[in-house]
Amino acid sequence: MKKRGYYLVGMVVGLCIMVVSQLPGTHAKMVMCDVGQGDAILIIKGKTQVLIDGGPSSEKILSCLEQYVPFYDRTIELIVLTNTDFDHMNGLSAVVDRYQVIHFVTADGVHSSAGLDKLIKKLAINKVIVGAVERGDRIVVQAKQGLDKLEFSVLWPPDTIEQYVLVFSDQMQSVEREQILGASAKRGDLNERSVVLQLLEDNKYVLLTGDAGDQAEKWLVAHDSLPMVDILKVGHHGSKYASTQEFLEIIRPEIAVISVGEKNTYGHPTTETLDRLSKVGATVKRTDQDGTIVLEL
Amino acid sequence: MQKLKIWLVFISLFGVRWYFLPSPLPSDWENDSVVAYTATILEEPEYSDSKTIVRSGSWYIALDGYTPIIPGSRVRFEGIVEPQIQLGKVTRVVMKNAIIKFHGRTRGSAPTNIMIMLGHWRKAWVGQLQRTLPEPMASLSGGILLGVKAQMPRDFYQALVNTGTLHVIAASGFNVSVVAAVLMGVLMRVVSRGWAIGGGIGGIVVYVLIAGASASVIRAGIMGSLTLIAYYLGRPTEARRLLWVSAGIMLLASPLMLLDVGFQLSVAATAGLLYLGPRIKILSSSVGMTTYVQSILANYLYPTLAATIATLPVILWHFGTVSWISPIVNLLVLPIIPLIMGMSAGILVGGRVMAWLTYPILAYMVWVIRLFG
Repeated sequence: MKKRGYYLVGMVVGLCIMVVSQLPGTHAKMVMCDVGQGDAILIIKGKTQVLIDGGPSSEKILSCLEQYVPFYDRTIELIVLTNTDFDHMNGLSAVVDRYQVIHFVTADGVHSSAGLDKLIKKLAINKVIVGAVERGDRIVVQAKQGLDKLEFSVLWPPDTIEQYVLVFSDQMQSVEREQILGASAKRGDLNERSVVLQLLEDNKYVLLTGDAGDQAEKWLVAHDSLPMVDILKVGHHGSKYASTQEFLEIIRPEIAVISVGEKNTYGHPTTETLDRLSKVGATVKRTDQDGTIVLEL
Repeated sequence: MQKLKIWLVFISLFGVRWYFLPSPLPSDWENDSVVAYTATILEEPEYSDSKTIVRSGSWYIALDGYTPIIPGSRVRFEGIVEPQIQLGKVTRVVMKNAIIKFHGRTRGSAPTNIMIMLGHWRKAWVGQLQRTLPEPMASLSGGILLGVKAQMPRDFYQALVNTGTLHVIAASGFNVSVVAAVLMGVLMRVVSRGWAIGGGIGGIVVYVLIAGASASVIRAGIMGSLTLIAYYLGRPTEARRLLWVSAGIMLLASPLMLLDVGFQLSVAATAGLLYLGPRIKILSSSVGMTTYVQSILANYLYPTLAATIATLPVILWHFGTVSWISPIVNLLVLPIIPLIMGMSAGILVGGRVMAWLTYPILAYMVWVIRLFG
């Protein structure tokens, strides 16, 4: 009995030390997970966690979550999938399986893949609430028993076709789903239907652009009064077809983070984009060089 | 003289069995011929990020993309195969990019249905660990408790290999032997010998069931329990004999087992407990320690140590290197393995609270392995 008592005390003490060492700080944090070629951004504020994309593999995103989400918190309040390319989506199935995910939102840039089939199944099994977002939406995220709120504005895409997002429902017949995915894929560059989010936190503007490129940027420059941003998630891994000079001149990011894989075959980030970023005086951080990047907000 | 005769008889019987062993591949098989394999799937496949992986007997089949297969389905796989040949026999058949055809569900015999049910349970248990613990703690506890190594982060798996601790998840035989030995050792001090043996067997049965009752686990369970019972009944010579007899019978029943890492580890671990265990005890008693410390060591550390030393050559043979840090790391983590097993089993019942209590211990083990690996 005595011995058992020691074990229990030891375990409880161990538990307390682990809890204290993993308590989140008072400020919000943006974690750009090093997932290789792909995107996965975790934003944490107190008990509230938002994951934007899940990278190309379950292993990398889970290891990032292990490091930055306290072990006792198994809830992710919101997942935003900016587009259904595998390098943004494939890691999410495992996250949905292992964490209690409350909401999942995306836009209509959907196309068919084995990874999508898997994610649809996992979302349904785990009863995650799926929604469509479009320009003008405001997303307020707050943990159930927490006070910490994160507020996002959706800047892009306009006029999301909700029917396309319905493919995430497992009630849909597979024939109908294939038709919709086929129709969606015919619309040209689906990267331009990526979800673009703006986060205002503690007077800091963060712009998260997914895979959006010059067309979306051009539209935003013409129709929006874009603020100067503190942190820019550089569009489409630093592709030359994103981060136009015109766009950068307006938002003038202080820090530009690029999520990109070492020695990737796409040539990301391109020298053109890096030049344009340095012209506006942005400090560039890259996951292929710096590993996982953590920024206090 | 009699021993030699028995050995000779065994070796010649084994030789005959080995020679007439049928190949899983058709006799006219060539490098690029398409092979078909039909089986009833008992357990849900593993899903990697881009593949669906089915393991069935000596077959390892990979399908591109996400293909759900409900346990109990009768399916036919077709594709080009790469057989792995050891000592002139096909031990494993790898079929990549297989094409699958479904043949409906089978009604299934009672054993099939039990296996399917255990598969469901095991999946639910692994899921419970994955939902309550982060990685790599989740896959570590799943590996130690259930021998599941799928979905373990590659860098952590490599760290286990580097530190020579892969056996904690690779071989259920090792776990069965250690758990039974520790359980019996502890129980012997509290209750009568009969009850202790009962408890040990009970522990093994529970373990075999939750580990999915695959052939390899059942095998380890039978061997471990037979020999340990004999040992704790105070007949160590009988126990040693029983170990070799049961190993021999299993080999005659299924000769390919000789090449199976799990089998080798089971035999080595049990042999270690039976042959080395008592010697370590004698050695340490001459060093002179208080009886309390000695009793803890005797019940907990010695069985672990004995099994580790005995399995070392097997690990060296299969996993290449045993680095100089391996004994240190093993010494640092092995004493907590039975504790992790017990507590991980507790997570299946106790859920999140139990997971929180287990987390610091798993975190310690992960920390040690990452530090040295």
